[in-house]
Amino acid sequence: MEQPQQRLTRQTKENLSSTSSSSRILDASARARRTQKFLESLEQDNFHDDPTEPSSSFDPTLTQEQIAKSLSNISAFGYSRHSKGLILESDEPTTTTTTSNSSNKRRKIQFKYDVFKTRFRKNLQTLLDEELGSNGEKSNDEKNYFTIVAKPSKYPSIKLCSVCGFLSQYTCQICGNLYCSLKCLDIHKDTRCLKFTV
Amino acid sequence: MTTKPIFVVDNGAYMSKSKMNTTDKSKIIPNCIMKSKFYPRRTFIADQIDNECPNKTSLYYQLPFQKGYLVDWNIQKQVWDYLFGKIPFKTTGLLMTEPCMNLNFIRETMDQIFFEEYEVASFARYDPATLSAYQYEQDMKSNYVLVIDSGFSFTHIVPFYQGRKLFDGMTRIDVGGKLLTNQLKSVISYRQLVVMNETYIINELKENICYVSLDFQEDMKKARLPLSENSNSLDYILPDYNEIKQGYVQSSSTSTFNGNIADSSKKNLTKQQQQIVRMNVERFTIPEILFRPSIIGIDQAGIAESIYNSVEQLPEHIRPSLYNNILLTGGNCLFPNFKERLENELRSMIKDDYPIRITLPENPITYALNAGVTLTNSSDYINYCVTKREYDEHGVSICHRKFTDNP
Ligand SMILES: [Zn+2]
Ligand SMILES: [Zn+2]
Repeated sequence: MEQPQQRLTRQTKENLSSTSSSSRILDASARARRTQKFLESLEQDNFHDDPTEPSSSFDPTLTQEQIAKSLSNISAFGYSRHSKGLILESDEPTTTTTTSNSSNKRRKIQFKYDVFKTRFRKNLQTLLDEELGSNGEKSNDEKNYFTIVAKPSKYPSIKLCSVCGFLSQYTCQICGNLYCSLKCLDIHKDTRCLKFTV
Repeated sequence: MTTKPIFVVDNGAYMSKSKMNTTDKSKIIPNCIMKSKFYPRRTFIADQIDNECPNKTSLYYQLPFQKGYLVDWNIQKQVWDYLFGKIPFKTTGLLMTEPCMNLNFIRETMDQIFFEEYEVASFARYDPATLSAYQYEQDMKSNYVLVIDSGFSFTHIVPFYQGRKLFDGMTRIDVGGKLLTNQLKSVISYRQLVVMNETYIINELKENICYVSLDFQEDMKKARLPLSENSNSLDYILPDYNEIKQGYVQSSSTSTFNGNIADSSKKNLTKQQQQIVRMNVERFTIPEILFRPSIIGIDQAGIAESIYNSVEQLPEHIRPSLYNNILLTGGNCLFPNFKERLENELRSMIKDDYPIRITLPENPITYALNAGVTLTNSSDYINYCVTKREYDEHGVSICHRKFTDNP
C-alpha cells in the first residue's frame, strides 16, 4: 500500500496532465458511462490483489486501477487517522517468506467435467448471451432473466450529496454529481469531479 | 424411496445453509474461499475462516457466484466437498436450491455433476422462493403467497398460486446485500477511512447498526442535529483483531460526552490505536437503496413499488389475496423496520380496502432451507425429485421435465 504522500503526488501529477480536459463538461452519455462504471464496481468481490498470488490478476474483468480511481481512495475530510496509509493494518508480523513459484504451485484437482477446467468455464456474460439466444427461439411472452427486471420508478429520486450524504439540491455543472453546499462542492472538486472519468 | 435421508442445501451466493432432513441441526457457512495475507500459504474454505483465521483484516474472497449465478465450478466444488464431507450419497438424496430464473447451462451442469460426480441417490433443485411458498401455503392454509427474497445478489418478488409461480408477476431488483456493503465501503472510504478491502468488517458493521428509515425526511433532520443532541450518530470501533475481536458501538456515555473522544483516550492508552468510524446518515441511507435504487443510479423501482407493479400485472380478483400473504425471506429483511417500512409504503400505494399482511419469519435466512426439509419429508417428495434410476434411464431430460413442471 502506498503512503498517502505518494498518493497525493500521483494525484497532483494526474491533475497536471489532465489540465487540458479539466475545463470540459461531461455530456449525458459520459455521465451515464460513469454511473454504469460505478455500479459495476459495486459488483466487485475484491478491491485488492490476491495476497497469495501477488503477480497474477485473478479476475480477468478486474481493472484494479480504474476501480480504485472511480471509487476514490481519498478521504474527503482528510481525517488524520487515515493518513497512516492502509488502515486496520495490524502490527502482527507477517510471514515475509517469498513463496517460490514451485512450492506455491496450486494443487491440481482432476475432474472429469469440463466446467472445472478454466478454459471451459463460461463467465456470466457468455451464459446470458446463450440464454438470450435460446429464449429468442421461444415464444416472446415467456418470462426470462431479462424480462423480469424491475421497471423504473415513477417517483422522483431522493437526492443525496455525494460528499456528505445529506439531502442535496444542487448538481455539479461539470460532472453531474450532487452536492449540498459550497463547502461540499469545493471538496467534490478537489477530490472527485472529473478526476476519475474514463 | 422417500424414507431415505435427504441432504437439503440452500446454496446461496453468500451463505450455504444446509441440513440433513433427519436431524434438527442446520449448518450455515460462507459459500466461498477466502485468503488472508497473514496466512499466505493456505486458503480458508467456508467456515474455516471462523475457526482458523483469527484476523479477518483484508480478506480476499473467491466466490463461485457472479451476480447471483453459479459460474466458478472449481471454487464451488471445493466448498461442496468440504460441506458434504462423508455423506454417503449412495444412500442419501440431495435437494439443492438454485436461483430464480436459473440459466439452462447451470441447470444441466448441476444435474450432471450430482448424478455423475457425486452419484446421489436422488436429486432435486428448486429456487428458494418455491420452497418458501410451499411451506407458507401449508402453514397459513393459503392458496396464495407473494414471496420476497432479498439476499446477497438481488431481490426477487415471486407470486404463487397453489405452489406454482405466477410468472407474469415475477420481478427482480438488482439490489442485494453485496451491493449495500460495497456502497457502504465506498462512502466510508471517501468520507473517513479507506476500508475498500475490509468486506468482512464493514459487512459486520452494516448488520450491526444500519436500519431502514420509517420517515426519511425526519431522520435526515435528526441526523443534522449537533452531536450532543444527535441520537442517530454512532461511533463504531472497528476490530483490530489484537485487542478488539469484534466491531462495536462506543458506549453512549463516552460518545455523547460532547463527542469528546480525546478526553476518554487519556484513560485508555489503546484508544489511539482504535479505528473509529462515525456513522450517521449512512445508518439509514444505505438500506434505503433497497427501497429506492435510484439513489445510486439504478433505474429500477424499489421493493414496495415493485411489489405493487408485480401484483398489478395479475388479475384483479387475486390481488387482495397476494397483498394479504406477503412473506419476507433473505438476510436484508433483518434490517430493523424493514417490514414496517414495506407496509407503510404499500399502504400508500394500494386501495384502502385491500388488507395487507406481511409475515417476517423468525429467521428469514433459513426459512427456505427449513421449507426444503419439510418438502423432503412429505409423502409426495418422490414426485419432486429425480432418482438415480430415473436419471440413468432418461438422462438430464427428466430433470428438466420434473423440476420445471413441479410443483
Ligand atoms: Zn454535502
Ligand atoms: Zn463534479
